Amino acid sequence: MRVLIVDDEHLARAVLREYLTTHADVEIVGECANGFEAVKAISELDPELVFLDIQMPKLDGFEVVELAGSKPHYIFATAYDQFALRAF
Amino acid sequence: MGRMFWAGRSAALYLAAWLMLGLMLAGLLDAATGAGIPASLLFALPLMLVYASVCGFSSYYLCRAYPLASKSLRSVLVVFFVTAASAALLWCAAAVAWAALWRWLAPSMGGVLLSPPVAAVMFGVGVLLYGMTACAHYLALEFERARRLETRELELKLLAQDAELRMLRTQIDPHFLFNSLNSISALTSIDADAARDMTLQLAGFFRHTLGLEAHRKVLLSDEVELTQRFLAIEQVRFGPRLAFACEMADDAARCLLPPMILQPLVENAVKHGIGQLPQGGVVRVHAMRAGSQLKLRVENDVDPDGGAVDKGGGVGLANVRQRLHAAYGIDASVHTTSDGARFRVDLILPADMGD
Repeated sequence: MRVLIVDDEHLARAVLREYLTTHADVEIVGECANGFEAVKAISELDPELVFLDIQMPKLDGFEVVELAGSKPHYIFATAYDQFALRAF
Repeated sequence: MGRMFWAGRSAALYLAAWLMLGLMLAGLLDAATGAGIPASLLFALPLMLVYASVCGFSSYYLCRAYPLASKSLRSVLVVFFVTAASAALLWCAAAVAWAALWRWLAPSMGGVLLSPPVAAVMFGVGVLLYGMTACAHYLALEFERARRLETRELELKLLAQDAELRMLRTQIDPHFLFNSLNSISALTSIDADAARDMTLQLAGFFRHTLGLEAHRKVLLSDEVELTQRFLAIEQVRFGPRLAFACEMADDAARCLLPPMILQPLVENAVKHGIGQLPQGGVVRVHAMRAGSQLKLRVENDVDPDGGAVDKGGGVGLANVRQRLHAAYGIDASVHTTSDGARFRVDLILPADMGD
């Protein structure tokens, strides 16, 4: 499965990457640190699954989904429960 | 008041005043009845001291039972007039008996003869003295009340300051701690040494804030050290996106200020400024003395076309403003300015060197 990781904090990306590498069927195709990069990467790399942080500068997670379309599946990752509710 | 009024010095003063009144009464009796100075003194002084304790105790309890603030003036006046009249009447009766006893014990001394006019004057004096004692009690009660109010106000003010600082402390804690723990958890497998460093930084930061007390000022250099610790922790999370620059003149570093004044501003700068910039930015702290003033500036890069520029005017800033106002009144000021790419908070407070 082709996976893209989007988070503005490099440590959060590192943790996700670490967790994902234990799964043999997961291929990490890229990492992005902000929404712009994410939109670009989604259209270029065509991942099947995107781990998406919600709280990011400029473009937040919701806006990324709006711009990049719902072709890939998304997993929202957030520290804020008010965002978690909105994600549904 | 009670215990204190009756204790020690107050009681001595009270008795001394009554002794003088006793001397006056003796003089009066001597002049009115021609009984002679020794007989008048022997008659008047014990009589006066007895009346002193009667007046003192009874009017003390009456004053407590009829506080001026809650009872109507009329009821207070009626009660005191009736009691004063009965006390004075009893006193006159005692005086008559006392005079009779003297004449019986020592007929040779002549003794004091209380004619009706003299007794009437004594009655009047008795009523007046009772009234004056009551007034003195009311005065002492008011004094006591005012002093208690004052100390209570002071205590409340200290409590409020402490509560505010505690609030500020818990306000930074949750998210900051949450983010930091996540970072540490991430670092443990990537870079164990960095994880340990960060844990120590975090411990240092909290040890520092726990030692703070609202009413004890801290050196600016200490406050800057606290913000540096805070930024060092945040730098682990933000990586190269967060840069920090501090310029502090030596004479400014030695100034005192209330604790946790810079830290909330720097926290805001990171959260609302640098956190919104994909490329990151710089937080600058600048401190200098200008005569009797200490000038502090916290400045950060902001997203020029982001709507979040003025979010810095939230709880943290309001709290700093309030606490500076509480500490210095109009001598302190807080100004925020924004020129599009930068957000700036300027603080001016009196340069307090602690002497």
